[in-house]
Amino acid sequence: MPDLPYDLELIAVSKSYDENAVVNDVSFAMKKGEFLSLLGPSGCGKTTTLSMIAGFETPTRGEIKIRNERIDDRPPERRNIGMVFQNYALFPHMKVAENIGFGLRMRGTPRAEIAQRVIESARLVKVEHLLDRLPRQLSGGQQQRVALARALIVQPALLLLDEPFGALDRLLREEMQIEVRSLLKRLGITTVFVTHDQDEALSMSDRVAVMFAGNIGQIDMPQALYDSPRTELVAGFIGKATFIPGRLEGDPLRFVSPDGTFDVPATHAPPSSGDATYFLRPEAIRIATNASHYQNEVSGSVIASTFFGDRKMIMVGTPSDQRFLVAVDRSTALEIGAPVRIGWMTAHAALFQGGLRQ
Amino acid sequence: MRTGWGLPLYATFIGFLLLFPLAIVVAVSFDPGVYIRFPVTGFSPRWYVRMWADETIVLSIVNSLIVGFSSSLIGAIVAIPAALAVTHGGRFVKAAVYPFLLSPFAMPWLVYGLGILFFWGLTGLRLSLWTLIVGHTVLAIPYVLRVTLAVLRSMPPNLVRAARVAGASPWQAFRYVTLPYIRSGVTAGVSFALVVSLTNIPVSLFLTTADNITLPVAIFNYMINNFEPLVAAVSAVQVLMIGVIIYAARIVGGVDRA
Repeated sequence: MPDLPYDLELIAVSKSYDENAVVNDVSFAMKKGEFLSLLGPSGCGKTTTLSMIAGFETPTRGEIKIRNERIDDRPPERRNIGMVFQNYALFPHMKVAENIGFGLRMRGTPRAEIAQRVIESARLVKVEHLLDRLPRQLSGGQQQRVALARALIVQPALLLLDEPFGALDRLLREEMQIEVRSLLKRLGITTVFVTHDQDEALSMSDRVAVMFAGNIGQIDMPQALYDSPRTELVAGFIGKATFIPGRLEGDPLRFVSPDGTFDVPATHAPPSSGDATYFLRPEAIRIATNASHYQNEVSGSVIASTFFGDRKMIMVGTPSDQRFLVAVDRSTALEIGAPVRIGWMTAHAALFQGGLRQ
Repeated sequence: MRTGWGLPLYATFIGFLLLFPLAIVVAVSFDPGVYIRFPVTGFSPRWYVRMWADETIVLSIVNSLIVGFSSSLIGAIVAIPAALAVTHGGRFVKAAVYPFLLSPFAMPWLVYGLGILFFWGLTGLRLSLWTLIVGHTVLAIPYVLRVTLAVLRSMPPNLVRAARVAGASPWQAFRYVTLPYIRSGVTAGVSFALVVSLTNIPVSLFLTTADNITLPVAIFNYMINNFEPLVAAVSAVQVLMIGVIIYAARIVGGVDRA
């Protein structure tokens, strides 16, 4: 095997309970300093995967390596990992300083050095003024900072974050996301982040692994996941989209649906005739005017309109009851029920057959 | 909120029921006369002086403290791992071991006392402080187990995981995280068990001789033959001991911190 400079490697890792596969053949490798998210609905296996990396669960099959050393048979305390838990799991009877210094104390580090490094870690996350408090005297955001300091003080090879922002309100959450990401990037620490919140995953990660039913559906950079989802499941989970069921027919092949016949977008492999799903992001669809020349156009009426402040989204329903999600200019004024023509360029569409992108 | 006379009146009545017998015992213990009677006829510490001169009473107090502390602490040493096992263990532990350890709650103590007397008879061991400690330990286990378990069930499972991943061995995680977390529960359980031991007659009666006599048994024996206020003085001392234990448990258990 070549000596790869990976901080974390999962090689065909599987976990089953009584024949029930929870995680199925999951493989990925992370370079030093990379921030990777495990994203998926609850029960997709992301938390079990994290538990196996941390050492709370043992893989049924496969290998886990940290810095090229196999660690899946080691107990959690011998993996050199830092972890921030959902709800932080601070030790309630210990002051902030004792919480932060806990890992060093377990390692038998001399007291004076612990005191020194506790202050350094506390500064890093800006809690140096809270060292004498008990966890229950802290706000949620402060508790999270302390949990992060406790994880970072041991200078772990790998940091694990288990839905750490879930308990914070929205404004604080977004602030913490930005701060945590820039801190971890500055420290260059390799991080695995588990979340079910796609905005969080997309905005924080270098790469995102989207998991469904124990499998990684796609592992890619956030923009690639959004722009070129490889499966219909990923396409539906990441971002908003319009899916049109229909068939590929004729020669040359065209996409036939109750709403009309559309041009087939460029595909990696030549598509075959048969059932297919046509895929459009809201940004790909525009409101058509007499002056516009879209390759594909559909008529319908506005059935819903949602204002987001910085943008606006409308839903257009056609006579065949197909719904199109369209991102429009925030100042667009369209009444519910108003007739509207929408259109798109074929190059902005994608095609799925058998759940896979063609 | 509606406020009336009902609740304060009710609380006063209950408080009176709880405290009145105690007040009478304490009052009688200072009576200079030779019979227990109420109202008292004067004030004198004579029965307390007599008490300290009575070798049997002094021995029984010492014995009771030894047996009480030993059995409740040994009970805790058995009950804490049992509580961990019940929390994290499999079906067998939950369905069989747990009810078994709790069974002293349900068993008539007289039956248990007689049973354990036969048991020691079969082993051929002479009755001593040790046989008594074992007998009381069985009574202590369910008290510590039940209270510890309640606290343990409220403990977030991620606390131990957080300790482990931070570098703690299973023992260190128990020592530095689990044990401090359950401290208030363990202390409460131990103090209950201690009080049970210090007041127990039905089991102790079968297991005591002149050498290992306990305080409640000594009081019981004394009352069969005498009706002097000495008994009241000894009882007052017993109540004082229990009061001190409950107060100390509050401090050691860190009720306010948990």
